[in-house]
Amino acid sequence: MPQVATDLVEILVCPETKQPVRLATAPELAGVNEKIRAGTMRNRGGEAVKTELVEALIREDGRILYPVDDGIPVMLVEESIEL
Amino acid sequence: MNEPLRWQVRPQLRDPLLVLSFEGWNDAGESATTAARYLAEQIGAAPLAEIDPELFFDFSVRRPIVTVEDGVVTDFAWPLSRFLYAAADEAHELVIGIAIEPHLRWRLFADQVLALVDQLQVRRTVMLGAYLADVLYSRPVGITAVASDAALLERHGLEATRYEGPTGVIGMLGQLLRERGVEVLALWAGLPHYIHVTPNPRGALALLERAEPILDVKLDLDPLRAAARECEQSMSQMVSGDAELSEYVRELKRREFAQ
Repeated sequence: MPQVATDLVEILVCPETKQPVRLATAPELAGVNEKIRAGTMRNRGGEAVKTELVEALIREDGRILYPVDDGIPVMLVEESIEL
Repeated sequence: MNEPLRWQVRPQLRDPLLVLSFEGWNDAGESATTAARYLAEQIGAAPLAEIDPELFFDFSVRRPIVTVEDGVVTDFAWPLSRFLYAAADEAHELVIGIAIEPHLRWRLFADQVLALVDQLQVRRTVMLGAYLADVLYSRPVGITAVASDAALLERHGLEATRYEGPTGVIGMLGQLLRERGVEVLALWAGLPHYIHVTPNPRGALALLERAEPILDVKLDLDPLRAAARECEQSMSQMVSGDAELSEYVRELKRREFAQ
């Protein structure tokens, strides 16, 4: 399973606010995945999130999550998730 | 087999401008790739995507690079074509390609670049190149330009040029991008063919000085200017210490005067 490179995470920023991002912790991912399983998680583009996350990046202020798809950080505002 | 174009991040870009450089035939004195690397460093560009070399290179010609320290392999680098990105200002981003002219399957290689262009919705491209010519080493490096339309040359105060002859991957991509409706501007630095300096910071500097207003970005070119001055001094020493070279340079000056 490809993983996002840590040196890449260090230089990525939120496309909206330019705040740095960090890797989501296991408890944070578990919380988000629980909502995905329950079918209650929508991204900011309004689409239901159906696939559980293996990795994700969380904005410095802890309010927004960016999914990591097959090791590739998806830094798109519409596909980000409000925490 | 995985797709040759491998994304490292899917970014949100507003108005990306693609800057392309290629090692090899289009890169005399490594000026174009030096300019692209300098630009990427200046704007703090981050990895975006890369093109896997497997289908495009003869590795016995363009070998992977291994690094051995204290008897231990610390790095093994394939000849990757890399794309980086960063915001140039509030309104637009630069996507910088530091690529290598492939040995094989140019059209399939072009498909990878075009896929990146399509995915990012790139509408403007600036290509950097450098060639060897019978130019005076002591003169400022001349820049010639080729554009997808004449208005683009006029807008940036660039002189139109004439050329008929072989072309490199830049020529092929320029044509394909133009056919796709993408604006293309290729800047070419002309370097003296009789003095081999690699990397040549004079060529890189000339390209970036011309590209800076076109890319709408502010760069600190002072370190590159210092390297260019040093390069010019060492070229002067090479010419003054070689009678044949000195005579050739005198001949070039005579020709220039006659024109």
